[in-house]
Amino acid sequence: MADLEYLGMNKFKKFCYRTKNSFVEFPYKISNFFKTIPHKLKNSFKKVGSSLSEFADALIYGDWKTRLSFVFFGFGNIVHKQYLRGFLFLLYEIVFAFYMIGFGGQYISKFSTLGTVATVTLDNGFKKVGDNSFNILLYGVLTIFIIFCTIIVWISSVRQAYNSQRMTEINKKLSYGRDDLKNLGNKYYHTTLLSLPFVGLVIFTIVPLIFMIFVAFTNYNNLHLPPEKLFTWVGFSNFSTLISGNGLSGGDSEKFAYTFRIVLLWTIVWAVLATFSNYFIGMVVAIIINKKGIKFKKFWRTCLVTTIAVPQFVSLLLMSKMLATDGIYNVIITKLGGNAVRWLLDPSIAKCTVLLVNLWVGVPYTVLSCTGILMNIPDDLYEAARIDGANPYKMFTRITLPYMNFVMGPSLISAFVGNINNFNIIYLLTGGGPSYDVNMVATAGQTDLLITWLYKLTVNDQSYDMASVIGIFVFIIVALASLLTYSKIGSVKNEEDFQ
Amino acid sequence: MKKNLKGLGVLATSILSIAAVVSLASCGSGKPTIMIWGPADHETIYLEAAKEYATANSWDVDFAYGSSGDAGAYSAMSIDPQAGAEVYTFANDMLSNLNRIGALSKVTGDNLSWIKANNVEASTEAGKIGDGYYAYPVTADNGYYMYFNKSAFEGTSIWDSKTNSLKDGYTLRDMYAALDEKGGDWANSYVTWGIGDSWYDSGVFFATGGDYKVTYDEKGSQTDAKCWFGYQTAADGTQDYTIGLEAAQSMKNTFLNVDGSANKHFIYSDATSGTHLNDNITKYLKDKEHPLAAAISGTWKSVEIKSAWGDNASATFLPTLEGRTTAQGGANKEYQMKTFCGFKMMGVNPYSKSAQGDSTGDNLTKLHAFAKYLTDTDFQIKRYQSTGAGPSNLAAQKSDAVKNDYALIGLNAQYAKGYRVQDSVPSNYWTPIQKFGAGLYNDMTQGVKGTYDTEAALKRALKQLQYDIESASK
Repeated sequence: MADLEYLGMNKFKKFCYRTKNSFVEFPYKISNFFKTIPHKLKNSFKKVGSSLSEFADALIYGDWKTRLSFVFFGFGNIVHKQYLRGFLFLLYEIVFAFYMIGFGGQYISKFSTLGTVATVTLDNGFKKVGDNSFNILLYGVLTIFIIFCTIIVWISSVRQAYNSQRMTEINKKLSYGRDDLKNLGNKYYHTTLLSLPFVGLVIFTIVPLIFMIFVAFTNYNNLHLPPEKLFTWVGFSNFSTLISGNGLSGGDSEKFAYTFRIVLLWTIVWAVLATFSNYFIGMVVAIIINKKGIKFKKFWRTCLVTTIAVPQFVSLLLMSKMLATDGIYNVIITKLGGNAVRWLLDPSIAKCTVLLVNLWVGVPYTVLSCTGILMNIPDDLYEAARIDGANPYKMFTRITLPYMNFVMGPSLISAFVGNINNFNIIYLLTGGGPSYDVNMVATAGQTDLLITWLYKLTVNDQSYDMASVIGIFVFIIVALASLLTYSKIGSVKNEEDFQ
Repeated sequence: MKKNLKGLGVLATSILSIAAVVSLASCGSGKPTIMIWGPADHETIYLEAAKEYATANSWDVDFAYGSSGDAGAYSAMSIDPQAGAEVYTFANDMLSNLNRIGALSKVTGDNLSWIKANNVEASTEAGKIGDGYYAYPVTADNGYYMYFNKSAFEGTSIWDSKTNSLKDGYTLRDMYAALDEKGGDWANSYVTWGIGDSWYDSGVFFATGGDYKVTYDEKGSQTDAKCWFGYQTAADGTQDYTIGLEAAQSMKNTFLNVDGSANKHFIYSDATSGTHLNDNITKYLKDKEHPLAAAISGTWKSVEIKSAWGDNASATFLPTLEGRTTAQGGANKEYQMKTFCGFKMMGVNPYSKSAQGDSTGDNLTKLHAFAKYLTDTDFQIKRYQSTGAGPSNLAAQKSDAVKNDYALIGLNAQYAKGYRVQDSVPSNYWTPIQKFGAGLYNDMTQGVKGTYDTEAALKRALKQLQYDIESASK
């Protein structure tokens, strides 16, 4: 349809047209998405394949020195007088061998079953500890990582041997120890600097993350706590418990699935409401303060910033005491003749209370950013609109709102994602909220987010398996939300043309 | 610049390596450490006693103290029993949980006969799972009994001059009559008990024959909760509501006169703020218009009550409850109100470093002997003197230091009359009972019809109560 025709339609028709278009395009979008996946996979396989092909070349075309370095790491390097590298490779191989024989081997061998020998209590009361499933899982993951690194080192050693062989054949100079050290301080200084942080990242973030993802596939909970009991792999049964209520936990499965649906719904509703209420009310407050006729602008802004100055932890705990059924708000209400309101104990009222307190906590931040943006909107836009006869509402929706949306877009998305995981406000205010629905699992309440439920499952119930599954779901939700919305919003699409 | 950086790098590496070597060398020194977990304020006395024990028995060990005992014992132990304390104190309702993670070593042989012979029966039973006993009793002071002001009841019809206390078999209505008899300052005095608090209400249900039973499967998770606070189901399926109806009537008779009006001496207490039992006691101890004459509470109030009433402070067993009269469909039966009680126990952790260090079980035996010492007469007296924790040891209770504690005398008098150890309760236990007690009081005093007044209404309420308690596991 031509542009002129489109502009000629009224709003409703435009909306219908756009909706129809998105439905029509939808299958194409999906097919494109699926087409790009194999393409990307092919690229990554190619990269891996190239290094492996060099590896195969080394096997086929290498001389005896190269072939021996398949077995003895660094042999090729030593023989070609690259002593530093050679000895480092050899040292790595020896250390790896000692590690596997002395420590890693026993855990890897039991990894598939996570231990079969249970703890036995002898007659004299002594508990003979058998396999410790937790240690097997943990050290098994660590060992898998180390094996993975060793494979990389192995491939690297072989490739270097092959390279040296080819370079000596054409009489090119190789780099020796001295050159390597000099390069580490010079050309490859970034490697030197990043090596320690990278190792730290792998050990303290990536390995524990993989470990915890694995826990989701076991039955590590309070009935299977090592060293007294063993736990084992249960495949996807935890996932099916959570989604469809058909897992191994018997009567609890239905409750888990039901609870998950309710908590998930509330999490998303909360994230949407909290983010947008903060945004709109913050914007309105900022506009009000910014208006020409308001006096003491600085005073109002200072008041709002003061709420930011108080640590959230302190203010929320204090709020929860004030909102208790015998807290100060209810005392005032009863003194004025009303009935005490169960701010945090009635399910629906508690949800509203949490949203209100979140406004109190979050609006100052929004006001600050909105004030800055508002001050940047050129006044002549408003002048022109007033001359054209626009009322304040039209000015707001046509000038202020699009401008704000454009600038605040990314920040809104990060706020939305952050609110999905907003642990502090829910846990400190209601502790997950009143739990009065007997169809729900005891650990979850009416104002629980996925993240607070996860925390309570871990700390109160030791249900590490279900907590891990919920964690994976939270990650999927957050990742999907971020990726989808971020790529779609105007701020990213129209970054260059901004009006 | 580059040379400096390289030099810096070499320096850093050498420092790190030296540090690593030094730390490796310094670990692995001599004596094993025995870790004790207890409440935070007991650290000094425990460590002192431990050192004395070690010297007396030539046990070559060091001691350490962690404050993860009592309330925090299960959460601390469940993180890793192999890193847990060798001996630790815990509240008896954690017993089955701790046993499930294997952190309790069974008490057998001489130790078992010792704890049975030397401690209050209730406290030893609190450590029982199935046929075995798994812990050493430490304290026996978490129950409730009747506090009363001597000057309010001396010389009245319920006074027993031989025991210098209230007569055996007194009821709350007798107390009100006695207060009216006494007159004067006590004419408008208050008596209170936590009718809206499920912990105290449980005592009424246990008195009339009700109980609960939680069954666990072989893995240790709750599979079923059975409760017969309301009715019992006979073999042919008929439901007998005697227990529930008697309990409800007994509750009514604690605050209603015979004609159904609310007695002026009773003041309502529960567990929510505003009408909390502890707050009411504090308030009316100081009140001139309605002074507190008696209250059902526990040892945590003993110091406050003593400072308010001085020598007139006294404690005794719980009152007798009156069931339904023949006119109301009962048999004029009376029941002794029971106390729901908890105990602190000491457990030996067979996964601890010391216990695991010797496969012959020798270390474990030593740890049991140590736990026995820590729960023996002398140390229980020391613990009482230092922190006021009421001992479970019989000899300690009779000792000079303890026997004059009026609160513990009252508690022990109640233990002799009837108790129910508070082990793991069903998951939906407290709320339904609290609703029942509070609802009964509110509706009867406000004249609400149809909820708790007639037998049919009561049966409905009792059925709901029992259903709610049992339903959490379904």
